[in-house]
Amino acid sequence: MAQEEHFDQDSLEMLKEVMDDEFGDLILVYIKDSDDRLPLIHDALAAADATRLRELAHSFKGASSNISAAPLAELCFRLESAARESQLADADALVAAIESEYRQVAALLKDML
Amino acid sequence: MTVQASLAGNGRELTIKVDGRFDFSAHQEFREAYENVPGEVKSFVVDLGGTSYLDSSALGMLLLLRDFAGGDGADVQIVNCNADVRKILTISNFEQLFTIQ
Amino acid sequence: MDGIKVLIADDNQIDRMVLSRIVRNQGYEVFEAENGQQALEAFEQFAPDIVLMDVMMPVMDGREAARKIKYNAGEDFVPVIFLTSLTDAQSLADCLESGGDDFLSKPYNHIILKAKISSFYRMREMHRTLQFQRDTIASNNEHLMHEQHVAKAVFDNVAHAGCLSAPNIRYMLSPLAVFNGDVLLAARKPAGGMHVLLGDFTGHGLPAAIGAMPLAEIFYGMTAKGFALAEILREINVKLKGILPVGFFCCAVVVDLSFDRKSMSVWMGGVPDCYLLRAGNPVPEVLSSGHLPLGVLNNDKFKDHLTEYQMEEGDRLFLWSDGIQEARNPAGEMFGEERLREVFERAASPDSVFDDIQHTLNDFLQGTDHDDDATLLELRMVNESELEKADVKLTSGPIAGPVDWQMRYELGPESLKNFNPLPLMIHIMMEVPGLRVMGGQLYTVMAELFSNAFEHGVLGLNSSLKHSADGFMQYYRERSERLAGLEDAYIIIEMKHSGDGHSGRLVLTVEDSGPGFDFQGLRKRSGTQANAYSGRGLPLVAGICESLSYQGIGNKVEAVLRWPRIQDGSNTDGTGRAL
Repeated sequence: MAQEEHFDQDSLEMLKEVMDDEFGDLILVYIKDSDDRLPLIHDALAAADATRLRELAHSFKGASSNISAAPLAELCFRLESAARESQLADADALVAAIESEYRQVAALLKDML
Repeated sequence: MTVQASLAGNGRELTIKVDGRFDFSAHQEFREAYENVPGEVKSFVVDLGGTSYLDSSALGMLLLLRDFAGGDGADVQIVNCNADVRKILTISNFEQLFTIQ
Repeated sequence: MDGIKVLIADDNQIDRMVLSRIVRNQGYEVFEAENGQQALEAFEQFAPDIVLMDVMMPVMDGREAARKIKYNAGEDFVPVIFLTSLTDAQSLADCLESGGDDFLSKPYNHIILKAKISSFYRMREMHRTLQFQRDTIASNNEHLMHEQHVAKAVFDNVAHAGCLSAPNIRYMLSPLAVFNGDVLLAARKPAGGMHVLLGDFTGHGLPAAIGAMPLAEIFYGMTAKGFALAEILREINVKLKGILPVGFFCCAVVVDLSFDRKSMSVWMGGVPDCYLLRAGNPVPEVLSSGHLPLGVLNNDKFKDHLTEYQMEEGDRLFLWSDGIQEARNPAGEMFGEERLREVFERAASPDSVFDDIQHTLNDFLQGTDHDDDATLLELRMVNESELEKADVKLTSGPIAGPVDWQMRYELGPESLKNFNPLPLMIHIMMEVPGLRVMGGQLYTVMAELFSNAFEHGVLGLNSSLKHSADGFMQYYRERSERLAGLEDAYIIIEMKHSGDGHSGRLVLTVEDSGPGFDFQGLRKRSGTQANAYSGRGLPLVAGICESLSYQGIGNKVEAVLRWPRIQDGSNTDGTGRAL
């Protein structure tokens, strides 16, 4: 599991530097937020609630982008875009990809603590 | 209104030319025309050839120049006045203080 | 950058944490809000300098919160920077449309963030400075306007005062701005006649008004004390020269009207020509300025020479400030001298000239404002009796001021050569309020008795010389010769006043070092008291005084004056001429 496949290395380094002693808190908050958010995404998908799905994908994208998880942010962006267009056909696959990517990101982050 | 200053005679004669209406709006420029001149100016010429009108603040400015140039010992000439300007200088009896041509 | 407060509003906790940390690391104080509503509350509570706000937030979104924050901030400039991951141009434009000042894209670039915060903070400071200056200017202006109105009231009292309401004076003052530089003064002389001054200070506003104060004070003060106009001019000139900066001066025409001699003396410095319109001649005589304005020359170069003109009753002198001739119509043309002259040529009668000038000027201006001070004045030669008596009312109660006093004033030869004691003496008498009412009479008595003592007593001149033109010349030649050679001479003036505040009595004696004269013989020859001393021009003095008597060898005269004086309508003006 290579860190560089899941993170923008430069911006991650900068984030560590910026957050300094708060970096750990940030990761814990991120993981907790995301763990809370994933079931909501599944619910929205099941209910075919495109608006809700878009909002959740938007927030997840922002948070992931902030902790430098660029590929995850990109997946979230695709979900957000699809939801905005109400194109939910590929949404199942996207949510699965997001979940999988998130698990790896979360594991890597925990290692950084 | 424009005020132009030029030096002649090895920097000993300063000519100040005022064009247009010579009134309070010329105050700053007229002062600067003689106050910041380098070297030693011995005589001053005020060329009113292009002056269309003169008011009492212009008369005041001329008195200031005369004061700057040495008061009673000042060498200040006023030249090229048109009839109207000349009349105002005459009414004010400025020929008692300046050489007017 | 210490103390700059930044409000961060973002519902996403991760975003908020990262952004807060970045901003705090840059040294700013940070407040956080999770939605628009909280942002609004935090804004009220912490008064942040800059707001960084997410667009999409629950409860109240960023755009609405931005609008409300801007509204609540009022005139204060609070920059709102939207945080957005939106990238399309329309969305960014919408952000600015809803009251945002800028936007910042996620993920944040630290350098750009720092630059934006500091540049917006500078903008806010600039805005604040600007507002402060604007408010300061507004309040200063209000203050200034108020002061100018108060000052104008004072200025008008001082500068357009005196006996301007006299029936021989007509005048027009333009109401330009708050002040104009024009001064119009007129005062009755204690011995009869009138001084008039029309002045035009360089510039408008306060510089012009300030000079008017001492000018008016000197003019009225010295006129009331009996000084000659030349002396008054000299005093005004030296005062103005002393207080006005170089380049500020007062163009003026000054007139000494003598109603009993039907003459006027005029001094003109830096003013346009004046017109003397004589009854029966439609073409006016032109009087031209012969002097520099007041306040230009030092007193040793100042010329106080007045030109005298004989006048008939009904002759008029027209005077104006340059604002009349320089008034411009909408086309920018000046009224000019030609138009003024035409008014005189066309006038139906001398009576209508003043009104004609006003009408012609108004027609010419077609409603535009005068762009300079325009003052117009007409002086008419009349008989002194046409002017109302100076009305000084005696209050019913006791009058404050000196009542029991006496003084002795002795002048030696040098003083007699060089000094005129009359103003000082008059001044002392005028301190008694009851005597002030009799100013003109007191002046006459004092002047007659002093000049008799001086010219006949001390100098030994014979007044009969003045009966012929040749004698007149001789009289004045002898006068200046004897004056030059004066030695061991004196004049003693004594005054003793007693009274109770309701009435009083002044005993005035004038004693000279001369040989005296045969006053008893004179009285015997002329018979009645009223015509006594006619050779010395004294019937007038005798008429004013309760008693008038010569003493000793005739070198000492005592005059007794009593107040309040019953006005009998005769001999109340200085209509007799000395000698």
